[in-house]
Amino acid sequence: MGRAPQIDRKEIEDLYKRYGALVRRRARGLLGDDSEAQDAMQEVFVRVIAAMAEFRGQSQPSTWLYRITTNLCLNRIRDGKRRRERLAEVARGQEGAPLSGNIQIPVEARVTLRGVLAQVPDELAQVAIYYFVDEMDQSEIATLIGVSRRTIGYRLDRFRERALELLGDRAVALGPLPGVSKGEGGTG
Amino acid sequence: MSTVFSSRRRGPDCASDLALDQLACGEADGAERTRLTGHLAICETCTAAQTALAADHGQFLAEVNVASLAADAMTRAERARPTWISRLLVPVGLAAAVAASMVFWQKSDENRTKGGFALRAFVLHVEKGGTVGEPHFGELLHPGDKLEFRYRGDRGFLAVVAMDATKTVSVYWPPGPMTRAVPGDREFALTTAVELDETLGEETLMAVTCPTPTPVSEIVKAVERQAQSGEALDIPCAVSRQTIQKVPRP
Repeated sequence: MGRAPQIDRKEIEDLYKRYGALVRRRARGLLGDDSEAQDAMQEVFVRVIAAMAEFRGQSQPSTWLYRITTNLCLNRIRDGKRRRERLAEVARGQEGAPLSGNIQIPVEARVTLRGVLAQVPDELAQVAIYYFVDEMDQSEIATLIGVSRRTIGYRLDRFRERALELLGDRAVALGPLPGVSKGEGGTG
Repeated sequence: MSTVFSSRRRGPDCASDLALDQLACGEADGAERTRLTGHLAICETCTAAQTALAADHGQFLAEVNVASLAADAMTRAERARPTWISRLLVPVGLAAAVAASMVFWQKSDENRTKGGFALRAFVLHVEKGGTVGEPHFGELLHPGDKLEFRYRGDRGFLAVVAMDATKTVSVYWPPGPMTRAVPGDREFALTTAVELDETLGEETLMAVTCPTPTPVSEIVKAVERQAQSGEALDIPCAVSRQTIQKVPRP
């Protein structure tokens, strides 16, 4: 697990060319701020360099980067100062920056989801990000984080319950959960 | 059931951004690649999403100087290395040979903080003949890696427990049956190192701080109940969590 003995700058540049957009897009989507996203992207690549031997061994490096970026951004969202800001967003019902740069999440959902993420346990927040922001299905999420699909369904159920508690009528107004028809909505 | 967040925009057969990213990066295997390309041929929504991702990629390359970014990241990675060592050698007070293999796992802005306290974890990597390991926030630790903790926050009675991927709850600290007093005026090193076992997958570390001395067994039971309910701990204690991922050694 030690530092890879030889890291060529050209190799890092190639990684930026290949994965930089993915990491920045994901960080921007979660953090809602270009400057923070850029900083988060750099932090992710610092970690890539620090764990270069392992990164090179990944058959699907983008999966590894998704996990690292998610955890880093989630921590920033839940950082004390940002947490207060997110809670204020929820309280005001104001529009925040998009929760994802690519996905067309309704404005209210963007704001409320980020606010809820700041208040629920890690294991629920991570699954919610992968499901609601990344639009992964439960099987993809289960593979990504190494737990059973049943656990994913269970955590989504818990997240919905917590969100309903936190948001009240505003949550119900957002409508039915997509994917229920293919069994994505419940535990299982 | 009326519920929250009707944010998912795609149909049941549609591709996630991760799947589209993997396709773009050449990481999708044969069957998945065939499925995705076949779906993209008939799905306007996913095609639009794929186009948006490609456009963002192009915009990224147009906006940034990858040489500068790479140089900055490499410099920061190199600078961080001695900082982690120096922050560990003195406060942890381990023997030099052991301390040389330790790294500071998380920077302060990445510590999970709730209720006015934080638990900082140190990782002692055990392979590669004592070379300095690397910090892995929430990710990619291995069986055999050792953790040391430092507590900073309010005065109280602390226990550190962990729930692994099988939902088994283990006590990491203290070694005795009761929570142990921690000071509120300074950072406090927990004296017992924990070696990660062979159970792979996600593991959640929890620092549980109670206002009074509390049997650790009660905390374990409360954590197990919480795992079933998904609600907050039903004991009058504050909790700070960190999640790690244990994977096999490469």
